[in-house]
Amino acid sequence: MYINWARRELNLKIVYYGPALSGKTTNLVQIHARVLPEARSELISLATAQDRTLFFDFLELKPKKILGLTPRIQLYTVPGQPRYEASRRLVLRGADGVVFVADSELNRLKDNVLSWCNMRHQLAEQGIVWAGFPLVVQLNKRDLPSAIALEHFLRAMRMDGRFPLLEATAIEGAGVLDTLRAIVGRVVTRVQQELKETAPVR
Amino acid sequence: MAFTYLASEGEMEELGGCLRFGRRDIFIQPAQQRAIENAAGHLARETGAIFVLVITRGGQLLHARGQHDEVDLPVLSSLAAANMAAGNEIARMIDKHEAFQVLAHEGGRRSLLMCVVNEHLILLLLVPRHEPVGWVRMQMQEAARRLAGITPNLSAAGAAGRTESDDGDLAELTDQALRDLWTG
Repeated sequence: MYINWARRELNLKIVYYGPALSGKTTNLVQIHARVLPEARSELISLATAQDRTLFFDFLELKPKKILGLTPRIQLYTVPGQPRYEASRRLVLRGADGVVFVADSELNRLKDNVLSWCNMRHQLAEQGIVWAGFPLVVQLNKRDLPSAIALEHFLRAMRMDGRFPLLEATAIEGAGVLDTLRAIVGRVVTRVQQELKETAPVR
Repeated sequence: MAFTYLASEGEMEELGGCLRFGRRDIFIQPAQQRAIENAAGHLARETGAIFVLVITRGGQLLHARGQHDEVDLPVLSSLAAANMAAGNEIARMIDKHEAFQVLAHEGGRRSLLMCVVNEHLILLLLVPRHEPVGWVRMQMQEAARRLAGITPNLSAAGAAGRTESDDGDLAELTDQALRDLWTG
């Protein structure tokens, strides 16, 4: 989080994390396509020739001023392929919240688990306290005939309802805004709570 | 309503930094912002820069000076910070005690130089190719030293300002603002 009191700006960084090909970039593509052009930056993708994320995708949203504050919400994705571990670490640095994008395809369950563990490890490495950290899980590709049952997914990932889980079919835009609203809501609530706790009594 | 409160230095110390999420948040106070703008303006004049940017190491733009109307600054800021971060990871792989203080990209018509200010900030300059890079680099490093003095510990400044209303539901209003952006 970066707050510029002189310019009344609140800058937030949200990272979309998850296994390769789970739909992280698709989320940003859909947001970019569906948000008013004057309220967003260009979408940039540092990708390979095969359109796989090499470093990150980036998109900034600029909602209207709220309580005298101009929010700037910066959305990043990480590269999902295992070989890009170092890049993921760099992108995750300074994140105010994370969306974990999981793949509903049954045979990608192991990849989901590995990526989830990898994320937890990287957050811990950065000294982020897991409890209370703003995190939302998006179970993507719900339109697949072979999509995993929700209960099976929760059990395999050992998610006991501690994190909000949203179902999505990002390629069609379904669930994309809901996911964004969920993570931004948690991050902003945390920010306001932090400001209240740390500001001296008037 | 407006931000009406700025803590005293003593109060800031009591805040004890902002590591609630286990990471360093950055808070810029109005006096620091003015000093940053002055330093960037001085650097732009001395080097003939097309523009000067002050960016957080997380890729968030803090100040822009010069002709940048045709540039998407949020995108440029995020790319610049990523470039610097990647460069420093490369440096660490070569020698774990090494860090690149300056990165330069020399183009046919323009050169772009970046410099680490401190743990929080990066300075970026775009200069015409005819400006001597050695001179520009020297001026940039001098400006970086000045900026480092202005912004020694931005996270320790804590939440020294306040939102305009403690009663306003920032999350609810942000949610509404996000829905307003959505075209379907």
